[in-house]
Amino acid sequence: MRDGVGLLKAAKNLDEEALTAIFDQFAPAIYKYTLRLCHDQIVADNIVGDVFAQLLEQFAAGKGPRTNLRSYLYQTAYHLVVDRSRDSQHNAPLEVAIGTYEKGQFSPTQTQVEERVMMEALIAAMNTDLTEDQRHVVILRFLEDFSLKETAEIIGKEVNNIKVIQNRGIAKLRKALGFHLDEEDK
Amino acid sequence: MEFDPQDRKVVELLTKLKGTNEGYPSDMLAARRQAYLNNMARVGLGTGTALKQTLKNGNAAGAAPISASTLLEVALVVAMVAEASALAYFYRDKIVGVFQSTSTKSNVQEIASPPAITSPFPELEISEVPSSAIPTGTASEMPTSTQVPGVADDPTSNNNGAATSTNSTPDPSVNNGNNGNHYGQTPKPERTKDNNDNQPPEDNPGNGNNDRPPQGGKDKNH
Repeated sequence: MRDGVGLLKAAKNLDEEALTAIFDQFAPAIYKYTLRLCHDQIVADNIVGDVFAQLLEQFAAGKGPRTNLRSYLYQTAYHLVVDRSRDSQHNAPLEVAIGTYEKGQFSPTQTQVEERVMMEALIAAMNTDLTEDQRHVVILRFLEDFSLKETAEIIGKEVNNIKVIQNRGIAKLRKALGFHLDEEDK
Repeated sequence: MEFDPQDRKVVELLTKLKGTNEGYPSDMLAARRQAYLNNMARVGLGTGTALKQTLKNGNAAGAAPISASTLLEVALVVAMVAEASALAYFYRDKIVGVFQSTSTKSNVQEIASPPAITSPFPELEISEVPSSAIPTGTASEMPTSTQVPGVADDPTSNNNGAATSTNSTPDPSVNNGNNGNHYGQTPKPERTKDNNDNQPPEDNPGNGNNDRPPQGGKDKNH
């Protein structure tokens, strides 16, 4: 299996195997990221299709990513999600994410129930209390494990600005979860 | 990056959310993958083994489509030029005729320009038309075509090109007895005594000098 650089180089030469490998490697992750943002499986699937269609067009035109393919794909997905949210202002319920959290468990323990409550509260706070930028930064930084620099590239802001957005977002989440955290401390 | 203890709890909760989201449904993933492969073929990845081989050999990504389009463009231009040349060869006679007719038309237009007048008075030089015909002049550019009020033409004058204004005064010997009050034509007083020294001027109708005042200026009665 090729590494990231070799895969990207082969894909820029329109190598069919490399392009297929890129899809197999990144499509599920892009889908999950998109689903976290738009909470709609159909929309997430369509965005995945658009992301890879744009990637093919860029490669065919001699353009496309040069170094970080993963950031490029997430950046494309981010812009598509933002465009769609501007068009429809669609925010699906969060049950899509939380409903599958403990899929297959029939009798959750007390800890699991408490954790589920915490997760529900956290997701609700992310969707209601955070701004768009804060939500994107939090998801990219802590759910998709992007660095500050990569997150800045994806969103198109400065690294210091990303830091500020991240800290404010976490502060809002902490404030929203303050009751639960206090209970947990007890 | 360091966080406060409470912030760290939030971050831990966020990291736990990583596994909460469901994966790509297998049927949707398979359909999307197939669409992606079809899109790859449509973009041009499967358009030919030779082309693909050329791409795999390390050429630039967009070089092959550009060269193909360039070749097509050059072929079209060559075909258009060849067709135009063949048409020009087959219809060369008509083309020459068109050019010749165009050049002939231009000569006619040059001839049709306003005629140049070589002589300012052609009528006077060509024929000795009675001067009475001149005022009726049709298209003469002579200044005599415009009659001066009160000035009659002298049919007896024989100046042959001299200015007609010198004969504008009518001859008193030819008139009908009504000379008017022109200078030198006033009624003469009756002569009581001949005086050779003071002879009145003789009107010579033929010399064309009828307007000369009396000589000496002395009173004839003395």
